[in-house]
Amino acid sequence: MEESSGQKRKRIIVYGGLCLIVIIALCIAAWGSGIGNAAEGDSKNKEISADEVIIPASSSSSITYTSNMQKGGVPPGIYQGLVIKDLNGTFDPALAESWDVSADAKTWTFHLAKDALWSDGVPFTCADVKFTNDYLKSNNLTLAFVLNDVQSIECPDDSTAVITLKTSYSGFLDQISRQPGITISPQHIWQNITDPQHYEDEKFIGTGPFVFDQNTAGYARLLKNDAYYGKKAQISGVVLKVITNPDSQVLALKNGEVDVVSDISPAVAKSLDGEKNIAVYTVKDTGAYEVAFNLAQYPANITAFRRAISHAVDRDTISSLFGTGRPTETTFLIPSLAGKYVNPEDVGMYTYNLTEAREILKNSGFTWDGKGLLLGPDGNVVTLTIPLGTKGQASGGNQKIVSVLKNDWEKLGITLSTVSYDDQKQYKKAINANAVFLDSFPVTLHDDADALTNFAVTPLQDTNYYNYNNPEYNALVAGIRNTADQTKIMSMAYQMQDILAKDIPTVPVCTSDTIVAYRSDRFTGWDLGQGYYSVTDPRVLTNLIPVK
Amino acid sequence: MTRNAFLWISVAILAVYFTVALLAPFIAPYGATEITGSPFQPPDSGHLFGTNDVGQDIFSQLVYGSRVTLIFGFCSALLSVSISTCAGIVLGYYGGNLDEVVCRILDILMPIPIFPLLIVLTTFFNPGIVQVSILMGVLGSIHGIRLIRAPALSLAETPFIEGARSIGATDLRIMSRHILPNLMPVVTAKFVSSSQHYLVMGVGLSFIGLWDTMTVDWGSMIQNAYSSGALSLGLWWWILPPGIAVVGISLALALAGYSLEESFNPRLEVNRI
Amino acid sequence: MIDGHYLLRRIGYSGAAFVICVTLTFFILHLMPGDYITNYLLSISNYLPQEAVDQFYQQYGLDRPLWEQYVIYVCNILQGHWGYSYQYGLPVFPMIMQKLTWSLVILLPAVLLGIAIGIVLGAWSGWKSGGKKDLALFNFMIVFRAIPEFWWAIMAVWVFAFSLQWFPLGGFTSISVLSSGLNPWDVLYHAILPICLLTSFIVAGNYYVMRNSMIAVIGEDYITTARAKGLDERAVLWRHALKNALLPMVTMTTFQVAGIIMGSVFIETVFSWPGIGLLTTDALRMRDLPILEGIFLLDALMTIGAMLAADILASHLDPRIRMGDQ
Repeated sequence: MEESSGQKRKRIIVYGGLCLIVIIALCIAAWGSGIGNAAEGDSKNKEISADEVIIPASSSSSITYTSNMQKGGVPPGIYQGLVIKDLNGTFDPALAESWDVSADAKTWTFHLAKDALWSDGVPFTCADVKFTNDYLKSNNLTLAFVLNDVQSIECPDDSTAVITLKTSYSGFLDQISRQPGITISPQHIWQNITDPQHYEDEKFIGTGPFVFDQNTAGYARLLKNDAYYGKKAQISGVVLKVITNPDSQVLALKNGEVDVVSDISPAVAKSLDGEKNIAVYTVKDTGAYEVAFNLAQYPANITAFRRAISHAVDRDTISSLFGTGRPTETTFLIPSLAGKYVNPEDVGMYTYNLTEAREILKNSGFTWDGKGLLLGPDGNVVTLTIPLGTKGQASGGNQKIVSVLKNDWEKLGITLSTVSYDDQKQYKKAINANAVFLDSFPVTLHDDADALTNFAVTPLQDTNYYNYNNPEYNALVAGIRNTADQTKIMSMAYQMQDILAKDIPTVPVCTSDTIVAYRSDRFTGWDLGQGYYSVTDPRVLTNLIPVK
Repeated sequence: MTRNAFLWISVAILAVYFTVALLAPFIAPYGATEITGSPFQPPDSGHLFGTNDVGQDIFSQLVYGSRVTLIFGFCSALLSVSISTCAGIVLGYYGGNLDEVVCRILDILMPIPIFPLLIVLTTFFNPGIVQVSILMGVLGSIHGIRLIRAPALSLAETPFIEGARSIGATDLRIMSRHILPNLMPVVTAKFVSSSQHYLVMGVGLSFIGLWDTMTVDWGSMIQNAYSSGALSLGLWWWILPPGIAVVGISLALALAGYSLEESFNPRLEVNRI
Repeated sequence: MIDGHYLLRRIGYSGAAFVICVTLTFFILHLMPGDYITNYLLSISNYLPQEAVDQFYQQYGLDRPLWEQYVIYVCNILQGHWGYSYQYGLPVFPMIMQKLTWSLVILLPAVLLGIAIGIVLGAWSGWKSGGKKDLALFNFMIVFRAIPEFWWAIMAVWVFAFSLQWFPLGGFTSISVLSSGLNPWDVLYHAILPICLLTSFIVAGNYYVMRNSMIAVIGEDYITTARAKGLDERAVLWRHALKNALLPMVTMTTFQVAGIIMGSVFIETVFSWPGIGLLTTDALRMRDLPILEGIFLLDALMTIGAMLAADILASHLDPRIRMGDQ
């Protein structure tokens, strides 16, 4: 049985060696395929200059770019749409310098920028606009859904695009400029690409104020586009650096490794207050929260119950918990953004008043048992479960709202519990099965008359989250879609808000802010005011001025 | 002697953890998700470990969090060890074709990587700590069956068992009254080491955010503190308590495990002195 | 010596294990609640355009019955097609390889060093077993190993990167990579903290196995005899004891090499090191099934391959050990 020790040792060495060789071979192969690709073409690289702004990215997938025709990400500031969304339901020109719309909101004519160039020097024309639409649709790309309403795009000349819609749609500009929106891709590049699903762009030829440089080892770099037709950037480039932990981002800002950190908590902002060379600004009203009802479920199907609850939401306390929030007093729209579209008659409808809530419940068939629990008109105890999704979860927003609601609703005799869902699909199902849910979304969905379609049932939208279906309301939604006349739109929006105030499918709670901290010794010009909450917004980036 | 002392210390520590978990509603001053103060309050008499970024009491979270963490660790370990013990004894006792077939199946199942499977299953059954721990117990038992089967096999062939059989004891009786008690040392040691393993893994999964994000447990507390400013703001009372809690129970289990293993493995002990 | 029959049987088992693994992961992943496109569309839009969902299902063949998808999937991987990522539309294999490369930058040195140091320390400790130094080392290792990996990592980041600022907070390289290309020293500087931590962890694991194995070996008669014969202690240690005690390490080592893919999830999370571990958690959150299938396939291949190698190696080195024949 015993082999000579020499033989055995030899064998061990041989096998050990074999294992090592296999491992090393594997590594070399991997290095070759991975890093080799990433580091190619070193010679052309420009030195990092002091006036390149460094912005942290929260995940490596956020700087993994594929191509502009696909749903995956593209570098910021490179591609442009026809218009770019601004405050108060207005739009800034981008590739379209101006635009007209027919009275029925069906034909949209865009006058395109005449001296716009693709970053490889080819002029931008209307053909690119038409091509983008046709290409997305003929290749069944996911983003094509944004242009579903488009019947055809005609090019009377190089700098005019006429877009005909299938049905009237006054919110078309919003549709193409809001997330995800549509940006125009170059025809001369894409017409040769036959498999867009699996195409990986390496050059990212766009028309925007920046051009793509490279994407390596946790960094992405954009350089200023010197041939840009609009307002040129005053910084020489942008570097995106992956820092996954938000706390590390703040430390990197303190160290001077990055120039800006967005979306910090009020407490962190406070701690940065005294720091030298760091400034903080707040972009107001970037997120909104609401306590919403599912009108298909008992007891939210009883209007009086909804009215009672609307007086049992303590907005002031909730927004104070948010640290930066402000209570919302309207039926749905956010006054600071929707401005004139807010019906002044319907402001302050849902004041917090538990006695009134109790009174309403009492008058509409609700009673209380010996222990003080609320009994519904059917004689059973009212218990509510609020499904919580991942939305609004990051800042603990849902918890803050629930903790306040729980406290108040217990006083009304309502037992409140929560169940959380990680997955959107399950969450949606749970919303449909429960009477009350919380919703939180960016205020871009609360800022103009078009946002009110959220409550509509239309041929395009056979239901809504609230299971709200009011024929009078639906008729007004159709009316808004079909006209481009702003005064008509406004009067219809007022009527819609009157209906909402009566039916109460939702109780808006409050808005929250985005806080941004930046190195004031490096760049100025970050704070463009309300609406510009993204630090990679091209309008913010082109506004930056290096501090000399 | 010292080993024994270690064992008792660990048992005492474990007892404390269990008491806290069982009596959580009586110990914790507030609910786990209740907002009871302003954010980032430093420790004081009202909030023993201060409050977190939302204004929840960290001490209460710590107390309630022990439930989730302990349930996952011990349920999976208990299930996995029970399955491996039963299967191991039955296989070892009967032997023959059954043993042959099951061993072949185990051979095939053994190389299946467990960790990625665990990650996926956690997402699959989210939120459902009990379901995940049951599944983990079942999956994890594969590795334990062999461990129990080998000594059971040699035990089944000893004259002592032959004797029991010749006086007419039933198979069930022999397995439960004669074989199992003799295997208890191995089983206990395996149980302790598995619970430590599962417990740490559960906290780890929760830390990387693959657990139910709304459940309050030590992993999610650490994650929350680590990503929301505990380090940059220097809020040690936010990140340290859950970390120390995990370290404490993990250490207790590890010490108990090694002590048990040593006291049951004579060879290790002989060489020690 | 290995006989052909045994070898064939082992290979057969490995094949079966692989098939089961592929089947399991496929069905678990495809039955998982939630799907990529719904999550994606709901994250960018307040309503769900059904036609976009249908289109996506059709493109990726998700509208077919599950068994049909399974058959197509198996046929594809047998031909070497690992599919395309839902998120990026890019082929899965190169994506995984690129991430794996970065993970290997930490994992490879850590595993190799961990094995070597673990063996040396374990052997020494086992040889000196019962001594004060052995006990001290042994207790230290138990305590070290009991503390979770990610907790060590957080503490290390806090002390060495946040407070002392000796090391970077995370990431692969410093920003100079954009102008002067990849600098191995810079990468090493960024990788050193995670490598040290991971190494210590592997050391602690190997140390324990090696020490026990050593203790078992020095209890054997031939060692006692050799020692009694008055042979040089060091010679006995190196020539007889160590060599035999190394046997169980063969299995241990192959496992570590196999577990390499998932080994660094925690370390990657804490050190912002976007390797294969972060790719996995990310893909899981996004429900990017092809990427997950690819990673698990690779993991299964490596684990099963390593187990096979370990079995054959062990039975070759010591014919008494035959898995499945105990």
